[in-house]
Amino acid sequence: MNRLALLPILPLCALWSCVRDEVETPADTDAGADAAVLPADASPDGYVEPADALPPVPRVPEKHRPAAEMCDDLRTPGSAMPGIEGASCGADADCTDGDNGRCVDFRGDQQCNYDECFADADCPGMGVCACGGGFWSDNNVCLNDGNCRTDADCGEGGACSPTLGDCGDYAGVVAYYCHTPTDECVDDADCTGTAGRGYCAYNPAAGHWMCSDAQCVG
Amino acid sequence: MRGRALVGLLVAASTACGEAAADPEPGALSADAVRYLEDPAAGPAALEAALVNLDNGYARDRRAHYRVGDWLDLPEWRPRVYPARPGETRPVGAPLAAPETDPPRETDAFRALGEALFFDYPVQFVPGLSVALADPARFGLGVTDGRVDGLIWVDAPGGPALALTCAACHSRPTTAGRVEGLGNPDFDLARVVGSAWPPGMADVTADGRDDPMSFPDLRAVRFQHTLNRAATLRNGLLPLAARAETQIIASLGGVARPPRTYALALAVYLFELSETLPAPATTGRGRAVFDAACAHCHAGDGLAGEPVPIDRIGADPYLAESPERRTGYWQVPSLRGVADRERLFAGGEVEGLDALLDPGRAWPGHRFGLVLDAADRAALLTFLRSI
Repeated sequence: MNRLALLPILPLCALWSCVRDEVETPADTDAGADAAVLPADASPDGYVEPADALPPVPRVPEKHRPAAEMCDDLRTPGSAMPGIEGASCGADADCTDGDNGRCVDFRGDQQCNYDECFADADCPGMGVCACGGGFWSDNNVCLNDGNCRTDADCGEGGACSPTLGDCGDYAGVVAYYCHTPTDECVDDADCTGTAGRGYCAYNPAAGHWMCSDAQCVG
Repeated sequence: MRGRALVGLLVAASTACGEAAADPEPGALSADAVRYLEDPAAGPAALEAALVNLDNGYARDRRAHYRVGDWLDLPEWRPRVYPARPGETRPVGAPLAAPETDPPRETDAFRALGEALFFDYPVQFVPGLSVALADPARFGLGVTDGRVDGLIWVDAPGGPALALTCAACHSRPTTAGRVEGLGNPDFDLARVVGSAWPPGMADVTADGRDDPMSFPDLRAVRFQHTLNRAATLRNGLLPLAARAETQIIASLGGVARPPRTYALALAVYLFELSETLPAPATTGRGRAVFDAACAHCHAGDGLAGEPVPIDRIGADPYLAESPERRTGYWQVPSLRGVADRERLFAGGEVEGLDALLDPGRAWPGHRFGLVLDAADRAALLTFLRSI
């Protein structure tokens, strides 16, 4: 059992509210005056209200993002073979619908992929541009489903860390989330051994980091 | 394991061959269903009685945690949700109306609630789903009335997040409209999560092995004698409700549980989906061929059967041997609706009925029904396409 499990369960902290202030709300979209917004001070069923400022996470995670980074536009040549029947492409030169197209093999099918971004600003919302972060390839991809881009988004002393998902045995980083004082783990090492499960990941249902293992619902 | 499994099978064999779960009946919920709602111990008791193998990971996990003082004391999972529409990066507009938590205790009311939950209740967060929302067709997801089937925005503690609903894997878009309950062979969950599974498959076992299974057809679940490909549970309304309840708890990481009303409603809805399947003919050449070639396993009104030993089928045993689900047996699925299924068998080894009954197919498993002349084969296919 990792030592963080001894922390009492605390209300959602102001670190989250700091992030929330910077997160686009439906009111910021083009939906118009009739679009409802996520109530800033509502209390969704089962959730606790954001509280006043709470202390930062107890230690700096091994993996976190102190600053944004620019991605380069260097890619290795694709793995495609020409003349494959039914293939979407046969060479990198066939991939012209985006930046730095490469014809790569994915599950036995050759298809194009591209660099989706070179900086976080190229990604919507709080998306992070993951340099070479494409699955099965080295393209830059936007990871759009987290709540931070850098540690600064998580408040003073906060940490923005990459997380794996909990569905899929061989998934890479899927998003970046702030650590919280209610975390049950900080690093993967907190989850190994006979008492732990797999790896330390952000659980959206819980709103904090906890030990996880991969299991798609079913 | 073997003793418990054998007892379970003997008990099942003593009942009329082909009988599956009888609940629910029209009108008021059964006494068992009401007890599930009112007595926290009813779900665990039903699940315990339904477990075929007490020594696999699924059984150990449920027996350890599905009880008062643990999972049954988790907070209820009733988040605010929003429709997910193609291209959205945030939820837009008003949230969906909260599902009824105390509907009239009638089958129709629970069926309607279950249908709504099937499409709108978040059962697993999957970071990265935004790519599927941006291009649903590319990921094999349908769009109905402007909403992407199987995806839902959730007002989560860390901010709005996309989640899967049951419909993502178990609702197939077609040109004639979506088929509720049918496994979606095109949903490319693997592309979302970065795994190498083919579309229409996912690894649903936390056993440390990459053993994806094809999304099953839930329309015939009422007729199944057992639940899960590896025949992990005896079927019944309460076991199915408990299964739904615990699988959602597990997929949420053990931090919340669905209200028992919701779990029961999903089970009632799934049982009622059987009404969408036509009744099989009882006469005719195709039926006669079926009875001779298939009915020793697929019998009764449900055309289902008792589990069979793994080596009886000749399929790759890797899936059935999952440390989490294994029982030593394969489920014998109901063939009601089989013509609509694109991926047959747990590993999706055969694509469609024509391939299943093609004597020249390469896959060596399930050799039943292959030694037929052309006329009998055609009659059998006609029969199978009618059910």
